[in-house]
Amino acid sequence: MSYVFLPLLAVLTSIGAYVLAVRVWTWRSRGLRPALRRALEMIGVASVFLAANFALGLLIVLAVRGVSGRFISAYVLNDTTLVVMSALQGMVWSFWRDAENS
Amino acid sequence: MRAGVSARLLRILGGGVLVGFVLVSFTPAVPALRYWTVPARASDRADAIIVLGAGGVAADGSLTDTSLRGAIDAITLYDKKVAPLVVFSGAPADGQTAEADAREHLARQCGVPASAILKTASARTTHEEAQEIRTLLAPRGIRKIMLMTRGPGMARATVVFERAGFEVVPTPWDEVLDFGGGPEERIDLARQLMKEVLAHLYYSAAGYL
Repeated sequence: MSYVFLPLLAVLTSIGAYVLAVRVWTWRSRGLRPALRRALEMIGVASVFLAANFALGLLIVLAVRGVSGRFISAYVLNDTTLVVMSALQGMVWSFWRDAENS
Repeated sequence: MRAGVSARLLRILGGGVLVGFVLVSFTPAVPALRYWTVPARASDRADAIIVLGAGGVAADGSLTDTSLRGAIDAITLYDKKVAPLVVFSGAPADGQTAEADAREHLARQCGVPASAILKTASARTTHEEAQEIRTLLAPRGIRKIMLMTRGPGMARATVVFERAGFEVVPTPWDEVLDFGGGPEERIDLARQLMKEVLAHLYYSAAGYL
């Protein structure tokens, strides 16, 4: 049940949103494809930010250990907020790029 | 042209991340991968039970759930006379009680005699734990150990302790094959596995493996 329940919810609300958009607000369904492409790009940018944040964090931890001799655990990077912040960075970067390209 | 190529690369990366997210969250791939990575060597006896630090203590000085699980499993094994000695490891974090001290306190309350407990509260990494525990156990002639840590870290810890001269019986304290739980737990498990991959790379580069 745990494997299918949550994806099922997302599928149902997506279908509902699609019907609402196309039938009520008369959005063109062919606009969905570029929207999905943009979403994938945004996820890609967020992933790059996550990797950069993680790599920089690891470098700082190792540098502090090496230079000062003070132990900082690399586990400080094991935090969900890093993913959320990277997602926000990815969104802002993508919107900025859109604005530059338009 | 370059913008088009970079957008395409980003889409491929984003697609990969999305596929990975679905595989991790909504399939049994990660629990199966964890099962595959944990070494298993059956043994009913050892000279000592070693419980590595993991989870630490909460701000009120009590053991976290993760740390408690390791301590309880070790006490249970001692009770079953699997080994005559228990070694607790776990350094303090920022002025808190050392995990090893809190675990020792619990074991004493559970009836494990002080003479059957050793501890090290200064080692902060698996490599340091292996060195410190070797220093503790070598004078006693102890070689065969039952090594306890969380499943994802077991493969690396086993090699590190073998290189320190021990004969290791890996004994992970969490369920090795568990397909239950929700997507959040599977994501957490995937995060532990990724962390372990990075730790493995670091230990290889540092020459500890």
